[in-house]
Amino acid sequence: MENFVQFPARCRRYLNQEPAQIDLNTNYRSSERIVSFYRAFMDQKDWRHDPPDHHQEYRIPKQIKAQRQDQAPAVVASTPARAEAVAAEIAGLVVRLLQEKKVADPNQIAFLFPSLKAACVERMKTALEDVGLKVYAPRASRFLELPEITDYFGIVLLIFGKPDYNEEFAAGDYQAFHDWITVAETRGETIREADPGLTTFIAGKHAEIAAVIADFDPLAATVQAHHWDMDGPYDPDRMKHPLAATQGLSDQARRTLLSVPFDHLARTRLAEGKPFALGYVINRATAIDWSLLDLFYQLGMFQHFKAMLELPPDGDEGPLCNLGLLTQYLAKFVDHYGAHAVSAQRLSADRFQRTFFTSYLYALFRRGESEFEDAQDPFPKGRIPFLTIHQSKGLEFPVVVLGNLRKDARVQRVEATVRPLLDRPSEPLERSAGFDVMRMYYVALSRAKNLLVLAHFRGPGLFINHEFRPLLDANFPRIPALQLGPIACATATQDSQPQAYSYTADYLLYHHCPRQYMLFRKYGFVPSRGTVMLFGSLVHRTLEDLHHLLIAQRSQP
Amino acid sequence: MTDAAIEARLRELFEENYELLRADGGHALSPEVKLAALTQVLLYWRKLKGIATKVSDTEVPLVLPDQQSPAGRRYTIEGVVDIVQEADRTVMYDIKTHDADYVQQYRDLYENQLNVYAYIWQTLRGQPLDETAIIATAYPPAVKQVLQDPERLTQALAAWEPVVPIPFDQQRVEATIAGFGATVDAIEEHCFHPRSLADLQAKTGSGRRFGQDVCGNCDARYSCSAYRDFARTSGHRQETQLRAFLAQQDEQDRASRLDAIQTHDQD
Repeated sequence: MENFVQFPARCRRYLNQEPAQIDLNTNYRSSERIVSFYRAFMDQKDWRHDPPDHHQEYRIPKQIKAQRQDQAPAVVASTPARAEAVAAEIAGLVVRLLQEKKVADPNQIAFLFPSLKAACVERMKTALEDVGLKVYAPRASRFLELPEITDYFGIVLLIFGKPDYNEEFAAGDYQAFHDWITVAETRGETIREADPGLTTFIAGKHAEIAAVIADFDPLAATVQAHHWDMDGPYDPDRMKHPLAATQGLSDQARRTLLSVPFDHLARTRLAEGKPFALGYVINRATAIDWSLLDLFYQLGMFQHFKAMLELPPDGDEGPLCNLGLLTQYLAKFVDHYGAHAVSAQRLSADRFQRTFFTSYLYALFRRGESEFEDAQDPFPKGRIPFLTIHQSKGLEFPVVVLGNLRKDARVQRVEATVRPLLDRPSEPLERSAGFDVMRMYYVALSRAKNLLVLAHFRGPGLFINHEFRPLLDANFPRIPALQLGPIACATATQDSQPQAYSYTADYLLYHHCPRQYMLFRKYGFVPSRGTVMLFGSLVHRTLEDLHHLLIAQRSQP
Repeated sequence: MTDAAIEARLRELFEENYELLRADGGHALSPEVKLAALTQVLLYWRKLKGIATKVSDTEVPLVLPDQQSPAGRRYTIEGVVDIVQEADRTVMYDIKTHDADYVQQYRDLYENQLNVYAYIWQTLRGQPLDETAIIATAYPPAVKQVLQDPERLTQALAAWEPVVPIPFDQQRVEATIAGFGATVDAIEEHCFHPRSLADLQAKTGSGRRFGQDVCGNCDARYSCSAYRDFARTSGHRQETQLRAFLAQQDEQDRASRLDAIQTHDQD
């Protein structure tokens, strides 16, 4: 920002040149009244430098003009009231916008907030749900508390058991997490009871876990009887047959110990001086060979979960987007902790439960919404997106609801630390936080194309930033009097930017199998064996590098 | 650089890319699969040195802008190719990590693809083009069986035909693009039904059925109604049998999973 502002002065100083200024002051996105509103808003702030440089400003002086000169009502505020009443009034307006087809899908109405942690966010969400609308805010509500996510973990809990609960920490997030576990477990039981097949399935998983655990002790006894060291090298010639001959061993474990390809690998490693540890060989023979990600896909056999993997008739993409995200979290866990298979040793000492629930999932539970925008974030059809203003940068929506007009200017600690080290003139620290809040609201106000709605809270303990106050006066248009007729209708397709489709990754993949395309390409599901995709990318990238190398070589003299 | 030096560099590049992609996507490859990928890269260099050393532009992005689907959606088509441009001759290659038999089997799809790419290259870029071809980098079983035997490997490599020439025919471009637009509409309108039971029963080039070859490796098979029908017609009529069939897993997959626990259970 500062570089832009200082550019002309620096050109004069260092280059002795007056830079040519070409104003980009036409807004092609928003209706004229929206542009006028955010211009008036920005003018509420005193941007002038401290004396004596009072004629200069900490912003580029430019007058944005709207290309669209339509005079339809485009900026409206709620009746000033307490948060519940404001939320209800706005929810009513959203219903009208949908009924009168001012938007083609709920995902064209974005709710923007300075932070998704404020209480007014949850209240707004509830108000929308009360009138039968669905919200998409995976970063606002706790991800694990979403119904489809809780259901999956309910079954995981029934299979692996609950993690330890320590009363000493019974407060705050820890307690909330364990409360969630109880809710999930109850959900799991309800789903299990409704489907006898699922009961059998879960019992089968219990039996598998019990079987690998039962294999471990006899093998450990064989190791002890031969005075071998679990951490020592595995020598197939000496150890394979005594291990496989262990009394009471399951067929599966015996087969794994006697596997020919593994035997070959173990000998190669031994010859190379990098032998496997005996303990690893035993863990390998006593492991369940499915991961949490496999379990997720296997549960699709049962009606309750199968239904979640289909698009519902009302086109609500929310659950599929959430489940796609779940597979991404599960894949990260599986790969990071090597949990493609889980050994008996980890299962029996509850190490798996501790790693998965108490470390990984608890961290996920506590993870707040991220302030960083993520281009990958989906805007599922059928749902109203809730975003932070930061996340909305660079996006546009036919209707924008700015859900909170209060944001306190706080000096960022990093700014305060870094500032004295900067050897150049910059915005005064005590003023820059206020400027940043203005710039943030400018982003929010300028996302709207056809209609901008402002939530105007008033009541005990409720404030709005004072730059909004003179604008939202008694003459300001309010929701109850708003006529929707003149407002432009947004369509689903013509309005949007042309979509790019890849011949191979879209067209050919879709024709390979449309359902596979839906899950793995459109909704970002991660395959349990992601090897096919990685394989292709790895070969392609390396061949590309080879070609670059050869091209560079040829161009050398 | 000597051939040996290039091969050494290729191994380094491969490792670097592997680490980058792993960090990016999370998934790891089992040692055997990783070795197979490296072998594919090294054999490409050995077998197709003649093409590789002549590539003048690699990973060239092709874009066909300003298209409109039958339902009025605006879209663009994107693709990536490698170009060998010599004094009097230009050839466009598309590298696929499938084997040549697979490419032959779905030849129609690839013909259409290269037709569109050729159209973009010639018409929009105004560049000459003499030939298009697919390079199928997956080596055939005949090569795989003799990887450890240098002498027989030389013979097997000589017999391997990884380049599949695809004649391009501009007459068909329009029909292909129209079909592409219809697919865009199908995606946007959420037509995501699985392939038909008849498709699953049809045999692929490997002689196995699509349901075994493709669906058998797809995680969505558990929840897929077409695959369940396929399983039932393959003799798994009862629900319990059906579940057992769905949960089947091959030994190789089990082995590669067990390999993954190695580093983590030592701590």
